[in-house]
Amino acid sequence: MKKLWFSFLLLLAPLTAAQSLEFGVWAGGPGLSVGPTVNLNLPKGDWTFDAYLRAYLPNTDEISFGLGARRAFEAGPAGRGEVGARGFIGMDAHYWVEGFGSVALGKAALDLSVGHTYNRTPSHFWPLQGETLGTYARLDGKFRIDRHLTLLARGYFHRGGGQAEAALAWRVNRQTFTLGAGGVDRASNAYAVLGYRTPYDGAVVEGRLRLGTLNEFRLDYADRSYKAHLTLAYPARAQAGVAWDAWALDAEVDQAGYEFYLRYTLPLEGL
Amino acid sequence: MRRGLALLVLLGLPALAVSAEALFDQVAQVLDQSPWEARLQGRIVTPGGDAQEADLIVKTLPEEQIVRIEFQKPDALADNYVVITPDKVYNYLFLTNQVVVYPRAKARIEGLGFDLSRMGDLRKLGEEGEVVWDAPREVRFQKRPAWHVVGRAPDPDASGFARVEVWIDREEKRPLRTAFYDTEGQPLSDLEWTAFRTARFTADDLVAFPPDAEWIEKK
Repeated sequence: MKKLWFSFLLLLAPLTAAQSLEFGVWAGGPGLSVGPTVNLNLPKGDWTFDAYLRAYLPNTDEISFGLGARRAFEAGPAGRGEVGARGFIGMDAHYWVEGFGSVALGKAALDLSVGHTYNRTPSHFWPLQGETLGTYARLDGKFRIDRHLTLLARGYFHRGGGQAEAALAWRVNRQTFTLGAGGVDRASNAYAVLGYRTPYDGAVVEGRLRLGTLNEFRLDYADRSYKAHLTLAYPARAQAGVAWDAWALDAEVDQAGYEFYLRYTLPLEGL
Repeated sequence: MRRGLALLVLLGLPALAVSAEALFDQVAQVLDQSPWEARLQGRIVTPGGDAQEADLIVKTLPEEQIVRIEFQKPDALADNYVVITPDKVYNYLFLTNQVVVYPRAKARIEGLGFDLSRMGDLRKLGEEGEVVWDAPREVRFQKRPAWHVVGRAPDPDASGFARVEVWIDREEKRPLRTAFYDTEGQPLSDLEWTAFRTARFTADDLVAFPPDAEWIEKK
């Protein structure tokens, strides 16, 4: 019995230094599956370590574990970067690994992630993982031409297809207008991008419309207390999310089913 | 009679002379008495050795020891800002819309060749032995009567600069120009204080960020 307690205490040891512990409830369909989740976040200087666990009911084969590590770099008022990796493995031998890096230096910012998923159930919310099977890469870039114009570019490439997009954001006083174009799989599958961002009564509101091969409208709202977003897309898909204090709630409905994810972050500083 | 007058002048001079410490006390009194805002324009040298045009707006709330430095130039820093409070330093990056928060003790406001947060507190540089100040000299700065004070850092490696020169408005007792130099005499920063005015800031005005910014807390 003593041995059991000792092992249990050893398992709890990282909690004493952890910055936060996130508890969540994930639910998805078709049918009803429920998965309590735990995410332990442990910062150590420039390093941050994460541990993830998702139980999965009623099908316990889908229980997943994950580990992640990332290192931040600072380069003055205009620069910072981060590199890291994370990986997940499930009881049914599904796995997902991802390496990622980001850098912002002066007038340019770049985000890159490369990963591989194998035999797993796609999920948008736990923990925001890759949405396709096989190898994938995501790239996001920003370049400030001057104080008013910023060039935005993004690409998403995966087994069987890809998406590329370029846009120009034009800032006038405190409002930003975005105009761009993108394509899915090939150039003829084009779509237009229109965006508008403005401060409104102490909050920031941003709308972005993609129209053509891809049809999607996304609305973001943020004030001092709440951050919320709503996405409506055709073929039919709706996603909504809100975050306040230590809570966050996300939900998605599409033709394949639904997902729902509620989580609470418990700060552990001082334990 | 003439000899007597000369002796009187000589005896009277020490009474008129101002020490750097006393002068900085007067400057501190002016800067500490109410919230103020100033525009700092000139040149700074990046750690890479490039001299760049600098244009900063500094806003302070002395009562709560809050300083906000908004970057207008160089272009790479434009629209970024740093907010320094007694216990935290907030670094806002416009391009990524992120606020990176550091504990004040661990804050690294680097990238400009020296720590901007110490630039306004000339008195503290002397008190902490980081700079040994010469006696102020009366000069004219852009037609204004001014004090010119030169300080030397006994340990340039630790200070990040070897020499500092300050011009102070003799009437209004506020800085007009501050210049920091390295051991080879090359300027690290040379900034003129323009558009100085008192203001009515609150802490909420200065410690303010876009509500949709991503927060990154460093421990």
